[in-house]
Amino acid sequence: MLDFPSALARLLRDGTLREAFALDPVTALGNFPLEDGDRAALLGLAPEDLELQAGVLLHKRFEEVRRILAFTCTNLGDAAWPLFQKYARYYWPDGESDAWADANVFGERLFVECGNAFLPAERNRTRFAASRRRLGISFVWKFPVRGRFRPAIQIFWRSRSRHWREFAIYPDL
Amino acid sequence: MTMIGVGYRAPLSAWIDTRPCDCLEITAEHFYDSGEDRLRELADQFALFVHGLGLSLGTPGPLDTSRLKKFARVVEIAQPAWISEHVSFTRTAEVDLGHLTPVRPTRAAAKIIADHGRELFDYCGKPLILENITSYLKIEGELSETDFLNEVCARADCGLLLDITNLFINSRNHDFDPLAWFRELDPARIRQLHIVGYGLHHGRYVDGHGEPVQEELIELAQAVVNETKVEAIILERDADFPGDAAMQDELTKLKRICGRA
Repeated sequence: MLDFPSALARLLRDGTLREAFALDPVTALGNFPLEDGDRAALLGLAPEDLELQAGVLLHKRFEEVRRILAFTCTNLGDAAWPLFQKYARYYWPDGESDAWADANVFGERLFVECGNAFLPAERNRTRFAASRRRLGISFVWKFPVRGRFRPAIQIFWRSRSRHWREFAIYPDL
Repeated sequence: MTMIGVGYRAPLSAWIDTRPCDCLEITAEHFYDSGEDRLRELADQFALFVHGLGLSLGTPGPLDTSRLKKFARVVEIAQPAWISEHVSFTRTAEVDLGHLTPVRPTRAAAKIIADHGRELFDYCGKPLILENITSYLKIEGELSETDFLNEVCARADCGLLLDITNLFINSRNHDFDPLAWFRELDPARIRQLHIVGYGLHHGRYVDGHGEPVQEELIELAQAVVNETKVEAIILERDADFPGDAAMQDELTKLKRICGRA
């Protein structure tokens, strides 16, 4: 059997499932092995309330990702939230919440759709964070330092405990 | 005397060091991986309460041992008068939603939360209080929300952390009388209040935790304080932090509720 929290979580994480639920709730939940009371409670949910509750979760994810992709999201301006919604509505990482993995997947989609907006220094950082590499070295022309950009060599290093750190060297070009 | 305090947040750190309040509420997850020295400093200066966000007491099955150990470590350092968590779930076997989500108000769900609450109490050795959450969802079950909260508290033999703002927001979004709702609770269980201003977004009330406390909330909190023996009120500001003077004004509003200003 599927417990109520698991069934509700599936609805909240999956935009496609919510769209199907709004059209035909009985069919959308048809494959869920639920107890009768849990099924009735889920069928009683208003689709618009589900969307609002899911929106709260998406916004929380966005706040985390925006902290990681600060300059990229500033570049995107008002488009950042709609672009994130478009991505996150249909994609939710499995398992433990991991804002870095979320930022990496969102960033890579951004890179395909509007590459210029994705600051390379932030792309290097999210790609390293989402990887298992021990060491990463990249050169970027625009590295944000105290309100301005400088050329920099980014060095990423991951310890055996999986914590990672970033160092920047500013070559005198 | 009812203690007045704030939720400890890093941007408020310098102001908090001026000792503007009686007590602080620590969010356990903020100290899971670092900050033990700061936590010890705070424990030396303030009465602390430890508040959890991610133990997911409403998830069927065992509690996450790793999180439980980290939570207990924070409690060990903070030595709080009590600990708190939410009547909700945040996680399932498949996904971490990262947000407080309502359970279906049934006796079975009350037992799951209460059993987890007792386990948390046994593990940490501190009294537990549980908090009501806000939600856009109206989930039908065997019990009303208030009967459900009473049942959870009775089964776990724990207190209630009544979030005034969550109650107010739910009452507006789901169209019920917050005072009547409060009066259905067992008043002896209510030990602590949370309060912060609500926001409005597209006609719905939201708990953005970034607004000054509004007068309607003060009135509701006053009614609760008049009819219960609340031991602490915590201002739960998480965003758009104002200056020190404005934060002090917020605390003065809360002191007034308790006849202390």
